[in-house]
Amino acid sequence: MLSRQEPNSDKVAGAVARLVILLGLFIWMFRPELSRIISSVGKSSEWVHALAAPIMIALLAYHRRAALARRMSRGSLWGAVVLIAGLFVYAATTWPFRYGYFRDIAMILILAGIVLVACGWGALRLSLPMLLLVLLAIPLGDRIYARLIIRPETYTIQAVATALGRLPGVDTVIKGVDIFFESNLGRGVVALGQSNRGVRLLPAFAVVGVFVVFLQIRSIRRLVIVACAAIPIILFCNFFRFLCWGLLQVYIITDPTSAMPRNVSMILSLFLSYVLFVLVSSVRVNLFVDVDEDIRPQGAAYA
Amino acid sequence: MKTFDLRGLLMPKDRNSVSTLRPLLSAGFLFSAAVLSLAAVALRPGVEALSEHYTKEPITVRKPLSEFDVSRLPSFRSGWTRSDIPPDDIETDEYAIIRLSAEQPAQMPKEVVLFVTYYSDPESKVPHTPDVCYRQGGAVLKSMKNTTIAIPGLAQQSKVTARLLLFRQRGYNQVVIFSFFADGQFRNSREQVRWTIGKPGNRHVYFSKIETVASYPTDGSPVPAINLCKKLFAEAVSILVSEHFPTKEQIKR
Repeated sequence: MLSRQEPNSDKVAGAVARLVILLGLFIWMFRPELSRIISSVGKSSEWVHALAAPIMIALLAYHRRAALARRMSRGSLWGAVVLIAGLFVYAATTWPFRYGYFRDIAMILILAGIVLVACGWGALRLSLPMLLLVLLAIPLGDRIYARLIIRPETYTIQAVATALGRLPGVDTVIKGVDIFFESNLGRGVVALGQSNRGVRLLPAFAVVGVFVVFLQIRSIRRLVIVACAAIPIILFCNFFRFLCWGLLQVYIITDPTSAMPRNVSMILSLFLSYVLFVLVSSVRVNLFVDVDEDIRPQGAAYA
Repeated sequence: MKTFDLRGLLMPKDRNSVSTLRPLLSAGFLFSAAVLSLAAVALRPGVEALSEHYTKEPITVRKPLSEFDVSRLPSFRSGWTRSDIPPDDIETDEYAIIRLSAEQPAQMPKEVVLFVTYYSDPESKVPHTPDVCYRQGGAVLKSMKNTTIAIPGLAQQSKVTARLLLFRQRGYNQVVIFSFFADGQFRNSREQVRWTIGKPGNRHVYFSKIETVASYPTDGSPVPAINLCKKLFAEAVSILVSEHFPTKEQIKR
């Protein structure tokens, strides 16, 4: 709903003013949820990427500022409808259905409504990656997470145990979610006592992927390809993380209380996820050339 | 590159205050701001008041689970010996953990376990399911899927969908069949239970986890153990529903 009479700078300034006011009200309303999320992510390395999410969102917004400015309008009344729907979800997941995670997810619906009512459909479309980052930054409940990861964790543990067992002089045995190893250098358990040891950092890998992929405005076709590759990349990075952890424990640090294998494997796997997502989102193959050539002048203008 | 200037909004050079505020006077924005303000002030207290007003109450079982009568199980009333297993961290006082051991040494599987827990505190968390907690106990999950079990003697819902899990333990394998019974309805996942007990309307709330477990050799077929677990599950559920758990009429407001 663009106004033809308003100059562009006035239109943008008005949209930004509306957005800032509504976001202020949003923070006021959700301050208990936001402070709970901030305090909980500080306690778990699994969700600590949530602390980086605001910076990533700000960077994405900065990179897209020109496109956002062009697409901002006087807003859409549908935003109010989305906002009310979000409030309804929030209320219903407080009572009668107590689903803490879905109550937090309602915030994203409300944020989408705010962007829509303040800035319009075009800005909302460009803001979807930022909303996706918010979604990935909201911690999932322990019991839901434990249930969701059963299959990937089982397969990852089996794959890592097999890989470690093929190394010369290393024997491995799986017991539950533990990989017991024995080698000439010693014996031990990979990632002893670490919760969800077989599947960790999946949301962090996904956050890296979203940030890398959406740092530029890309064609829909490429986004579809990246989306198809995202889950295999994330699962492979998780496998790599656990394998690194096992290798470090087998060959370098046999002390099960040492945090070094966990930290090194975490950094290496996050870096791997960054590299893989950069490759998938920027490698130029024939399939992409036409589309990317089409949008390159536009993308260059945004940068 | 200059893209927009907020100063134009805040300090216009040649405009009056109405044109300055025009971007903030759109109906959608004003309505949304009003709704958000109202929600910030009243939504949380309102919903919490509703929650408190409609808090469901606990309800006791009609007959304690400790009095579960194995002799009422048609397939297990003879040829099987009952022994009770002490509980381990089940967060309820209402339970039955019964091991049935075959008296015939040649019978396979040699034993089967019935594990029933009952929760009625509205604040109770739905417990972890075996697919999660058996793995923490050292079992390796081989497969998990739904299975349909016919329950004799039930007026409604005579076929129940339960979860069938196969585990590899150290030196043997294990079959686990489980399902939940919440507010008079069978549910086979924690999320379904939470949804069922959250529905407003009833005065009381309860849920129960019903689980049967049997072992089979590492190199053997799981079919006999699965059939035995299904048989015990079906016969036990029939008794639990008809004699132990509260009826649908009892939990209504």
